[in-house]
Amino acid sequence: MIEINDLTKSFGSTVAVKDLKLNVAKGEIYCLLGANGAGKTTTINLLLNLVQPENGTAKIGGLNAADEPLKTKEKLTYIPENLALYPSLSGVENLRFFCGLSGIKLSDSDAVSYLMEAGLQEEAAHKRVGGYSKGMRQKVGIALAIARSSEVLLLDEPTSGLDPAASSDFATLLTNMKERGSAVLMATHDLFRAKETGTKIGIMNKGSLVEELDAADVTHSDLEKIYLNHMRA
Amino acid sequence: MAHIFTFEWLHIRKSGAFWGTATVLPLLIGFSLFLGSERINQQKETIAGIIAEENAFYDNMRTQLEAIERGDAEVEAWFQNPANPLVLGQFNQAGRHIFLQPKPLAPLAAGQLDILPYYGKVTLTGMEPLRDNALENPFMQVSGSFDFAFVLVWLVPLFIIVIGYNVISSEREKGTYSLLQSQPVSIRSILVQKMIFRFLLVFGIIILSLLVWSVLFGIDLFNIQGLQLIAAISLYAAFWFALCVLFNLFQTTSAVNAVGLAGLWVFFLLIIPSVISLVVTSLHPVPSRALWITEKRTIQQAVQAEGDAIFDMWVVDHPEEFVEGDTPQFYNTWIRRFVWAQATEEREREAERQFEEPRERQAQLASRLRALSPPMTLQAWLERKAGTDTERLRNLENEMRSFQQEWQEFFLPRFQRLEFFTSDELADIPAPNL
Repeated sequence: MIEINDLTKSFGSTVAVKDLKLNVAKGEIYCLLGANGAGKTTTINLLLNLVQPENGTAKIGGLNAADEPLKTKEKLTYIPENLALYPSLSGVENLRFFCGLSGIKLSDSDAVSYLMEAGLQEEAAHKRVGGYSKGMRQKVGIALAIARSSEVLLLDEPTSGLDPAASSDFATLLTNMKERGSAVLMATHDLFRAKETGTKIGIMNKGSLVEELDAADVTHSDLEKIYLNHMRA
Repeated sequence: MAHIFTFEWLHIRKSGAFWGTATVLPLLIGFSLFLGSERINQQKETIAGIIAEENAFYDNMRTQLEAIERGDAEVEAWFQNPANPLVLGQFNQAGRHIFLQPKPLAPLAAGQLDILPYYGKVTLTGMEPLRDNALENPFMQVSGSFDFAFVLVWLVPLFIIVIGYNVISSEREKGTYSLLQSQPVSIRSILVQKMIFRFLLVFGIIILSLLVWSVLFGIDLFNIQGLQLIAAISLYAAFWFALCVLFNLFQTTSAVNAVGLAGLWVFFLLIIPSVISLVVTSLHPVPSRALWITEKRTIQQAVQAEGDAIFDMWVVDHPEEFVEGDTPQFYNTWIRRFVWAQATEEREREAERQFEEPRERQAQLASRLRALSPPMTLQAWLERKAGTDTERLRNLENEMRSFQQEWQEFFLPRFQRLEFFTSDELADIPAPNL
């Protein structure tokens, strides 16, 4: 579902992503680990066509993001680290607005049921987003992915700043998305969550993918050792 | 587009900027139209009053003359004789007023009415442009020329800037921009749709206010000129919204957008007019008004000094227009005055050219340069439509001059031949085509 081949992107003399090869299949959660500046966010931005690659391709559902940005965006939902919504609108109104941009018309009751499916309570769904916690806003993001039946979910450090309970709830939602057949690419610093939630783990360092592991084949402590070895190399 | 419009409405209805605009702008439009309609009503009352006074004077002259002709009354002095051309064309209330009638859109723009007269009086010896608008209309003393043109040209852009300066920059500042960027719709398309909605909102507020207040104040906008006005307003509002779009396309903050747009407001409304004024006065300097007044006095003194020679020359040139012999004293006095007045006017007109020609060139150049500033272009257009532009008001003098010629042609030959009027002939006294 997500195919990245020989992807390279530099900003001036800094190589952000170098010859990156990566695939995320349907029903897979791929966790991209790496230090700050490793190239995780740039990879996601390349998939969103917010920056253009110098070389290589970033495809979603077989479509090259650089060539057909709007069509690729129809297939995905993106949840940034700090999902900002319109504070003066309710969760329902926000969801209806963003779904509407994809041509999906939701009634209020549809929106409420999607939000509840994402773990938000009905009462909260009608309240202004200005009063939402970060976890609640992330749930609106997941509701958006559910409502749009997104084939691909791109997440940029979605659990950073969440308390353990909220982080765990979020992980459950991702697992649900995986079971629905979505391909999830999540950039994160959270080794624990990557191991617990991911099916595959990639470690990036200085723009390159230096290690790729099956989450089931590695223990928490091994993952930490491998990660630190790469970071200190 | 309907989707963006719906949600833009959800957003904007919770914004203070919108409610501020929706409240203050209609009030400003209403106030300006109220003042405009008061000004025009006053103008119409002035015109009607003067016409009634004029008609009453000539009716009275006819009644007196008929009484004299019947033998019911006697003439005690020449200046009381209603048959005397001098009494009918020059003395007391004699003479005709020329008016520029207010156009249908006149309440919308005071234009140059503050400075230039819209009516004047024509007699045998001259023209007297009257400029006492402020005295006639106390509202003008209170408010100056606060008119719809001012609200539209100067204030509406500020409201548009308030509504449109941060449409996309605020998305960046709120953090919603990144989510918008990931949607299958281009940011530019979202920006344009949001701006179109806000444009329609502001445009709707202006037009609705304009129409409602116009109906209340008796200003007729339901005609082709009203449609032209609405089209002009839409173009002007679109111009300022386009500038807002332009600023929002750059990756600038809301503060930078606000300052930048305010800077453009200053540029188009203050700097360009000042530069135009500087350019036209530098390229085509007009001698000072004081110099012109001095020049006129010099001419009058010269005519006075050469008085007898001028009159003798006229008699030689126009023997058929002069009755010799035992003529009344008033005839001998006034025939000279008319000749001197004519000589003064001819000389003054010749001298006036050196003042008028550069002024004309200034006006032409300013008119061309005005295209650099859409607000100035709109202001000029509104004044033209309202009939309060410099050109039309200055044309009053031409109309007065042309009518004065007609007036003189009617009365002077009769006076020069000492031919008095009969009551039946009073109906032929010329009246301006109003």
